[in-house]
Amino acid sequence: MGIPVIVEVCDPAFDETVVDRLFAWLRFVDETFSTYRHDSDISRLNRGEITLADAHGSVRSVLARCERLLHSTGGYFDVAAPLASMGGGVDPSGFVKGWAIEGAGRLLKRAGARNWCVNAGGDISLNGAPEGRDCWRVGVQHPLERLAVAAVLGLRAGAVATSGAYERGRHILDPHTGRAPEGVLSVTVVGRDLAVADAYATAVFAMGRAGAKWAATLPGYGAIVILDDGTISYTQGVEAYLQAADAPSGGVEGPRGELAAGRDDQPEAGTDGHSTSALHARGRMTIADAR
Amino acid sequence: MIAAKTVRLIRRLAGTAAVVAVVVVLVVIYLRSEGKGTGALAPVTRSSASRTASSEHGASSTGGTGGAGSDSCAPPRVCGTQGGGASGSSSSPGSSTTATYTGTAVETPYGPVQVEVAEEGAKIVDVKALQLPTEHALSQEISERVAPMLRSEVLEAQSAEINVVSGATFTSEGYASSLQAALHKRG
Repeated sequence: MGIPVIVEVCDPAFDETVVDRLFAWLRFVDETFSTYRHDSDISRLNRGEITLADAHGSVRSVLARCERLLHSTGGYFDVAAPLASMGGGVDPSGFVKGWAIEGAGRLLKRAGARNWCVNAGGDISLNGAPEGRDCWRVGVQHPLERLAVAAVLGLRAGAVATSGAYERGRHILDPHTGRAPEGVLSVTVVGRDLAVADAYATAVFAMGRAGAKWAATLPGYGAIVILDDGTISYTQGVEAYLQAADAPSGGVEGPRGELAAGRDDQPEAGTDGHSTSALHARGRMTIADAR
Repeated sequence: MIAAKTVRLIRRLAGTAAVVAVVVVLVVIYLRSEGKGTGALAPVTRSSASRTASSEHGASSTGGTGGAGSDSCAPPRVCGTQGGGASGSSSSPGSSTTATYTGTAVETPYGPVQVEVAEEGAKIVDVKALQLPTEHALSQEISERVAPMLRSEVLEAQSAEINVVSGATFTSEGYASSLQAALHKRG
């Protein structure tokens, strides 16, 4: 198993060797940070074979950023939490994946790419638009139905990260209780930097039902929180992107509804900065026709 | 129509075997450019005008074992997945524009799921569930709920003109059955 990384570049005459460099970068990150590699800096650090000073400089800067996120999320994004029950150590994977893809995006940008999208197992960094469109339209995976989306965002730049418990693999625990958070199916965070968006998505998910309210306080980042009682909450930070998705460029056959519930069901944004929509019957989320 | 050329490169990174966030096993690269694909992987370029020939769907969608290159209308070959990839069959080479793809049966926590997608040109026109979990009561309930919706939901996703899908981290195994993969097949 592994994480599929999908790179899409929609520019004329793009130098394909850049893509080689991009994957060389991802390999470097994997070799340095993977907790599944015995000889990675992180693994050696966790075994006490090296100190932070011996580790690659990127390890120090990543762990420093993780430390800041630990504080800014009230302890809900905690790189020590995944290994707490296994003798300790740090597993910064929840930050590193976004950070690696963010770096891949910068590499594309420096190489002159203008319209690109990198999707690493569902976490996305993008710029510009695909051919014939005026923005990338990002579907938010429906947490219960594999082939459906719960919302659509329109972005010309930025990042989208989603945390949920519906895929196999390690699930997110609330670091304060050591248990899986209750009531939440998925959290999608949109904003400028994928590493931060990824960490926020993890933290908001770990907060459970209270996550949406906290997410509404984040400057520059928006969140879509889907709960198991069939409600979908979104913060004001998301609304700009939802509106952007409402108006795709010419040639697109009629925009569809962007949020799961029909527009009629959506109350105005609450004073606490996030809105909640009741979903259709039986907690099912569908793409409603917003017209 | 614009005679834009589409280059698709599919490549696979050498052996990594873990779920860790940064491991890259399956890589599907789309490069859309006016230029010719001359990369080391010898991508095949074709005019997008050829995309309605159903025989090409069938011919190039039976892969899945690696290598690079595919034409502009076939789904990208999926490399590096375990049991991944899709087998295609064209209904009537040359004349009809409908092609069907049978996804690999994928084990989910609820049981095996397998779908068949029918395309006309670049559009998904039908989705059938070939296998859905029926073993347990819970699965039964989920199947009943999902089965009638599979078809319409995918068509909805298509009409929403989605380019990319954000979701909880999926692995290479999960990719084959994902909505993202369905969008790639759609091209």
